[in-house]
Amino acid sequence: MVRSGRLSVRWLVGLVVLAAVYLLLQPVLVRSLGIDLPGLRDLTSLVTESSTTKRPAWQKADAPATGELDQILHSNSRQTYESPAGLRYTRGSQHGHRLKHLLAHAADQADRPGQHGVFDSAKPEEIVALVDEAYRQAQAGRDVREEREGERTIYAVDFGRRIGYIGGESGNRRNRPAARHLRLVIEGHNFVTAFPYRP
Amino acid sequence: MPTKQTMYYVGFCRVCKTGPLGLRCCGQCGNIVLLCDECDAVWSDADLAAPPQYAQGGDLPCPACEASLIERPSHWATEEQIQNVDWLQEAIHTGALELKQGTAFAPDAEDDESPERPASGG
Ligand SMILES: [Zn+2]
Ligand SMILES: [Zn+2]
Repeated sequence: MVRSGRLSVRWLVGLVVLAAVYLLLQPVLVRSLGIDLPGLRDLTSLVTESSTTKRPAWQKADAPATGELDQILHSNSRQTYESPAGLRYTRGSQHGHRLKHLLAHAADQADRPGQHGVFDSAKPEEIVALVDEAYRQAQAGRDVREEREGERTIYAVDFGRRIGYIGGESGNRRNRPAARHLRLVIEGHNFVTAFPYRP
Repeated sequence: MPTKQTMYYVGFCRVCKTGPLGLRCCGQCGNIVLLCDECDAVWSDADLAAPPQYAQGGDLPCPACEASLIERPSHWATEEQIQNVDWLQEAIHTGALELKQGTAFAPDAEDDESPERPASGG
């Protein structure tokens, strides 16, 4: 039936007629039989979803824009970056920008006092996506502990999978133990800091 | 790689539960505060149970004179500067705070004219 990647005209007409009959009968069948049949919109969304499944897990349709991140990270730009989940990264912190501060957790600093959480990934777009995932999980109230401190909210999000390790003086003394939790500090929608940690 | 800076600190931040509380000296008025090296929470004295002050509009104003505690000439306090602060000396002598020396997380923001990149290799 398929010749050089094209359907013959007869098959094409047949398919269109079948689709039309299905669309006419679908509401009647749903009512009379009490079963849930997909409508045209559901079928269209199925096709759309399957066409995006080839991307890596973090690279969803609303993945962070790499160019925008790079521009802030590799310049003295003070522009605000808003992540796909709606977290705002503004200028601030001793790194000059909250995004730079977050990315400082992509590498260990073995002589930093106490614990220094380090992400397994060093890619800005992956780390921002991970923070977004934690933010969404926190808003949904899944595997999260929440604390308030003035206008700040501090989330402890359990990913249920390894996301990094504990470095710094304390982590290096203990052979850099794995971390599957993320601590996320925000003020409203404004990002303050986030890093892997162990409870 | 950015130059590492010595930072005197007195324990860890109860807000983010990770950052060392560094002794930060205001470059304009010489006031010394406790500044979390991770989340930038600020305490003006040894009463760490009190609510901290947070950054405003991306900057961190000195509680005494409102100059930026982040931008130069503000800096991590030296041993000599620490010795001149009465409330700090009292808290250290009574054991309320324990003074330690460590390495700061970030370089001074105004130091990096060149783009900041992750250290390559080693
Ligand atoms: Zn803190
Ligand atoms: Zn001041």
